Amino acid sequence: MHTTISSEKGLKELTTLGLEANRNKYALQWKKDGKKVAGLLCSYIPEEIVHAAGVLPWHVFGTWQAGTPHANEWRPADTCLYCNHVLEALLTDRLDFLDAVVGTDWDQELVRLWDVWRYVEKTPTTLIIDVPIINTDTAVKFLAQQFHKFIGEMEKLAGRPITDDDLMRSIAVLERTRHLVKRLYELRNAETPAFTGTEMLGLTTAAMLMSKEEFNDRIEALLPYLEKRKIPAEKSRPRLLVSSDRLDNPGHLAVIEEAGCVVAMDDLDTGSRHYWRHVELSSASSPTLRQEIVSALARRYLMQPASPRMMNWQDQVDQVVNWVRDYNIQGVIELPQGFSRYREFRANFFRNKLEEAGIPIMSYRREYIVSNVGQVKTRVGAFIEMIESKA
Amino acid sequence: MTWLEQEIARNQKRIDRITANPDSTKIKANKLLYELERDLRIAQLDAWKTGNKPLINSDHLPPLVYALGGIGIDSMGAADRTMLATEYFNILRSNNFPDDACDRTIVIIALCVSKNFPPPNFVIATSFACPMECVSPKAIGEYFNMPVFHVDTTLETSDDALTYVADQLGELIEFAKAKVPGVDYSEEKLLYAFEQDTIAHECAKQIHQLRRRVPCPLAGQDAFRLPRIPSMYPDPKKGAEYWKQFAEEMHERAEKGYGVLEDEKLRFLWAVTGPFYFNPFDILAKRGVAVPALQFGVMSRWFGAEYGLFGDEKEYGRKLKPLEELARFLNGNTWAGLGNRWVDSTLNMAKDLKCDGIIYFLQLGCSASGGVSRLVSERAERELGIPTLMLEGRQLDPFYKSQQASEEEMNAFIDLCLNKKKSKSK
Repeated sequence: MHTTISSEKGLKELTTLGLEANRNKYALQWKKDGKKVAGLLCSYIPEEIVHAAGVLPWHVFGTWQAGTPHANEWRPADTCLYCNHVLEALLTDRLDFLDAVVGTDWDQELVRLWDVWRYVEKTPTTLIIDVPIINTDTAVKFLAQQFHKFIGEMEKLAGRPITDDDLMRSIAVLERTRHLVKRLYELRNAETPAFTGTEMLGLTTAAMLMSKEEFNDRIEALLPYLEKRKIPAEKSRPRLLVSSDRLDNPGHLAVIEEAGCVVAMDDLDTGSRHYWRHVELSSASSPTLRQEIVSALARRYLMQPASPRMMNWQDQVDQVVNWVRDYNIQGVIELPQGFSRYREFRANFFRNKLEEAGIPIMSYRREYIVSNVGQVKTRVGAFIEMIESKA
Repeated sequence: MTWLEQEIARNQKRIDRITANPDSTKIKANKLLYELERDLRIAQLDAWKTGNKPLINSDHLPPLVYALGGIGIDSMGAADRTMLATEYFNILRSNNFPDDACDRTIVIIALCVSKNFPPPNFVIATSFACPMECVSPKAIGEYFNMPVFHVDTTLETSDDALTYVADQLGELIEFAKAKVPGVDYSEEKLLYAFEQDTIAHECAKQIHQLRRRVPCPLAGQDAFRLPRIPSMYPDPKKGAEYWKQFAEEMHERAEKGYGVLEDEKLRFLWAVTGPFYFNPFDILAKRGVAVPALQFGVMSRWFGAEYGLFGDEKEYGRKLKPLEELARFLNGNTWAGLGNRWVDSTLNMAKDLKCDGIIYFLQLGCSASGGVSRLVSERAERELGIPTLMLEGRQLDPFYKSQQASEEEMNAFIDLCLNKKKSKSK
């Protein structure tokens, strides 16, 4: 059991862990303890397998500094901004402690980031997982093959075999994290939420940057305090949902909330989407325990609430509509990150379907870093006025 | 008049002009090509107006569309042929679609939304070339509420990957039969499409061998022409016939020692795509620069530089079933997958064609090529000793970058390559 601080201070420690100055803290300590760290570039990478190898699954965020001059020598500036800022962090030696980096084909931009990563040879091991854009049984089977291969690669990195017991233990740890985070989401659902959307994103990203065991212990210790906590009532309306991808900077939500609302729910791969779906082992389907474990992981990752990279657009809309209903949301703010092509091509469909469902929506193309603060506040303020005038 | 009707008229005008005044300096096979293009547009218009056959987007899987009994919709190819797409960018903006993604993937949306071009009755969305060529037809299908089937291709080639994609194609056929009126799958037709495409492919291979000759018998503009696979036309046999004629003419030119340029001083590989609103090859030709090839996603396969198109047993060491053949094709695009596939292929092509430089068109929004552009230039310099010009631009938007700026960059690059060649020869 780790030492925990069950108070506002403890909460703040977690919600600020993702800040650029703090985010390497646990990874570096992990390294000092003689263990390895794998940087993960996507929420479709099975953390359970990394964890089972005794390697810290550490999600890579980009530098939050404004310019990306080093990255721009490798990638056109008008490409995925997350990728550009991550590459900038890599090329300015901020990720030198990584023993491995794991990418996926979340989109082609991420593959190209991974291509450059491998080429510059700054990280000893570079791995990539081919994740289907569909979630049929055929696709689950293919992803399971990819995960089997990934287990072998993580065994090489760890220098030891990964047993079924290792995997089962890691699934249990990760499931505990998911249950705890979902409990935090329940606390957002109160009429006056326990914390702001900004704070919640701080918590969900903290779990992506530290050992899961320690995160679980800390949240368990904090829960009695959090269950009684409430944000000021005047800041608890209207309740909005924010939808985006690769949004790891809570500052984006702070700007929105400063306009006079609370982000009471999110559709983020650094938030709800990352934690929502559980691993469900079935006793019947697979001939061996290993196959069943891996199939269950493949199902879990392909069936999680989808990013726009997945082709089940209607399911993605339905998920948001359900969250709007369940969390008593008055409007949706979509924050497409510049050059996030999957989301941009989905935008017309997403907007039209939400409008058909009677859900107000506004969209604002954001940078990776927090910028244009005044303009965002003005746009969100106008959106809030529109919502309130209809109420 | 819709864009489709304009295209029919345009191609007819070209045919009439060639018939009335044959130009001995131009390729005679062009007439057949214009007839094929006209016939395709007529068939598309007919299907759009009458509903006699299902319209199915066919950029990635022409043989399958033919086997399903559909009329192919060449979404990306049609967008390329708009040449200048300013008005379509405005349509995109007003409908919440991106206006700064790769031109061909977005202009087709505007063509359909503005009712200039028929939306497919059935959309096949594949990640064959890049994510945008997948979500663009999907966005059209969803906009018009048409059935959409997604085929996920893979990052790397393997037996598992082949089976995965072939299984999806089987599911696609069942889906189409159940959901799309007029679809009637025939394996016999699929094999016939392969047969015609293979005839064309054999011709393409011969042409590729000719490209290697110095002086190059192909004009840059001919090299730049993206090959249209015979099965995408309503009459694949006529499509194959075009390739036969085209290859014969290229042979004749080569045998006569007739180079397109009087004095070939340099050879460039042109990579990715290029501006369609002006002809950059005239500028290059005036300075004695031949462009033997356009390097693009399926270049090496289509022209047989690596593997054959269909029926080549080398890659998997066995004879493949028809749907596996299609899966092999889908997984073989060098734009998709890991970057080294594209970089290696580009370098191999430049080496094979004895190029002195590469013009790498940095198409705005092209995720496939932009992200590894420096890998191409660094490796080309290091491994082949040749420089690369990164020519930024948009295919269909002259207002993004002026023609003059592009010409200045190309001229400076030619000077650099000439100097380099001169110093090498000393």
